[in-house]
Amino acid sequence: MPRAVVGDEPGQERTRAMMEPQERSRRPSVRAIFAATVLGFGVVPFAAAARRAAQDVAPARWDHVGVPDQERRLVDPANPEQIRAVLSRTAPEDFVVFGAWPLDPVWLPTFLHLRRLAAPRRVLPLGDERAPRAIARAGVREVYGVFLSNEDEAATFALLSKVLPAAESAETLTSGPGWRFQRVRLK
Amino acid sequence: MTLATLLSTLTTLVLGAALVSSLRCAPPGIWARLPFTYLVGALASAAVAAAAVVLRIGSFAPHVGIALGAAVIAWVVRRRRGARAPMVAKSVDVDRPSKHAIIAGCCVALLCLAAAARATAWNVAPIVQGDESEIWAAKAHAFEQIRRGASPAAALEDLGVAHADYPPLNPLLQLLVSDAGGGVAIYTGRRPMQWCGVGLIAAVYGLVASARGRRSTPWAGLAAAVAVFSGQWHSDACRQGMSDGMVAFALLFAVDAAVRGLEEEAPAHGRRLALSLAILMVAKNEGLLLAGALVSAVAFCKFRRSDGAAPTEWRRRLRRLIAVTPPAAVWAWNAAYGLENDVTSADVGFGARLMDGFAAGRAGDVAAYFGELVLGPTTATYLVAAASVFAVTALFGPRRPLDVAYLTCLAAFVGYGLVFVGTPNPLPWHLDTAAARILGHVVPTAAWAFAREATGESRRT
Repeated sequence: MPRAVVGDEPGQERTRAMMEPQERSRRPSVRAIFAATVLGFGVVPFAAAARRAAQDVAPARWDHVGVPDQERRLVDPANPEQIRAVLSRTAPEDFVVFGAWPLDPVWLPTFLHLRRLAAPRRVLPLGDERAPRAIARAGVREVYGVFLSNEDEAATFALLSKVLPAAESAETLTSGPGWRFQRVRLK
Repeated sequence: MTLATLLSTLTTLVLGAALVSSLRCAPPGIWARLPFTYLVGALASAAVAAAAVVLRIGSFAPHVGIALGAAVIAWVVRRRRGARAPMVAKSVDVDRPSKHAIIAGCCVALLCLAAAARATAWNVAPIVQGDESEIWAAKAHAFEQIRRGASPAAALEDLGVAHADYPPLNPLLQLLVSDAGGGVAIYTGRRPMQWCGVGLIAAVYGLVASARGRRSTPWAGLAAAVAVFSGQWHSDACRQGMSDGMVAFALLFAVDAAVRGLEEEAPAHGRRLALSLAILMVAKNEGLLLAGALVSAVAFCKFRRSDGAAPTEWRRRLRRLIAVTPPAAVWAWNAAYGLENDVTSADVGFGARLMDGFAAGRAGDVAAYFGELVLGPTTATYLVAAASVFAVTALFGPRRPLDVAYLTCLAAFVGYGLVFVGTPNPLPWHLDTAAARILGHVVPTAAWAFAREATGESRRT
């Protein structure tokens, strides 16, 4: 460690010269100042972000916390016994089409439940554009459909023919509140 | 939080802790260690869930398998360490945190709490639309069907899985949440990805605060964490059930491990890099591009290691194997079922489409869009652009370990730009739906790099 002698001008200069690199290293570099400035810009919108977060976590949104998913279903799945009964009319190689978008929260549990009950039959969701293609590729003349609808037979067929253009006619085999099981003949 | 998500998170953390401890690859400091433990646990838990799907083992078994796996690893590690270490009294060497570190840590804890609360409140909406439904949740439902006996091709097609070639890490974690709850998780399936958003804030802080800077690292770490939290990207991407938060999370740990590996000799950094790269590549397809960007940056900044602590050849091979095995498994799965990516494997090759894109002047459109995004007030993507400025200086000046981070940001910026130029989709739609989200992958890394830069020069010791 260099020592400065008071009043000794050359000594003081020598000391300064030897201390200088250390002082310089403690001084922030241009890069560090630039980096700190850039980072500082990131901190500026914090107030707005905190306000957004506070809105997001408003008390009204906490009702669901702690409630299992299964209890938060908007509609109960269709009665499994009824579905099992209608499926018993189909052969294992038959297609069963499901008249709702499978990822709709209302019908997803029903769809998955139906798939379990229907196995090994293939269950396809209508509303997905790939379902008609899969049916066409299979070359079948008729399919069975569980359509979740309160409409009458004609209105159900009108809806069906929109998503399954190959449908020629449909015959209701059985129905219940909010659902209809149909045999659909294809062109 | 429901019991199902709590159980799923706990099993993931327990398995992660066992693995990180056995591999001795934890990053320094609790703030970074806990998020890294979760990340590693997620990869290992997903592997167990994948095995359950292939073997068609039922609902609760994967969690039992994860817990048993963690217990076995912990037992083996304890025995090995017990055999090696002599019986000596443990020395009490507690590194007390400074007052600054305690205050900054409390602020970060509040930020993490806010991020977790925001994510939980988001779960009031079911997962029914957009990418989080059609790509990720749909694939989780397809895995459930495969496990119940459906053929993979039929399940993926019947459930209308979009981008069926995307890596399965996220869907497998969603499947574990469903398993823990005993049914399809329509609301809380996104929880594993939401934890990545929370962990990201803790990790950014922890990785800066534990660095050996010459100025106050906790405050710089807090600034970086605040910058990440304040960006619109974090509030959008990190509370949905998409994999973008996990990509950013894994990239941050990979870049940190690479930079520390160049700064100081320690085998733990190499192991952490291998694990982070593996997670990065199976989190989302963009992870492959980012992993390529990082590896190129490291190759560009190559520093010769001294021979003293260099890993043996078999250890180096093992690390490469760890990094490459998960993406190779995904590739094999995709190849087996003919699943292709729309960007890279359409009828016309990506190179030809890229040339067409340049000829059609798409590059200008993409640059203009990126420019607008970078200058936008809330996206925080300006950090990526600023990092690219540093990268350009690194290209022509002396190279330092921290330049790896800047070069990775620049390579990602250019790489994503090229993807948009050669996209098979309508360009405005693709930019609107994806640009801000994927540029956000590098935002935490850029914030971390600037914080480290501000605290002191990055040097090799």
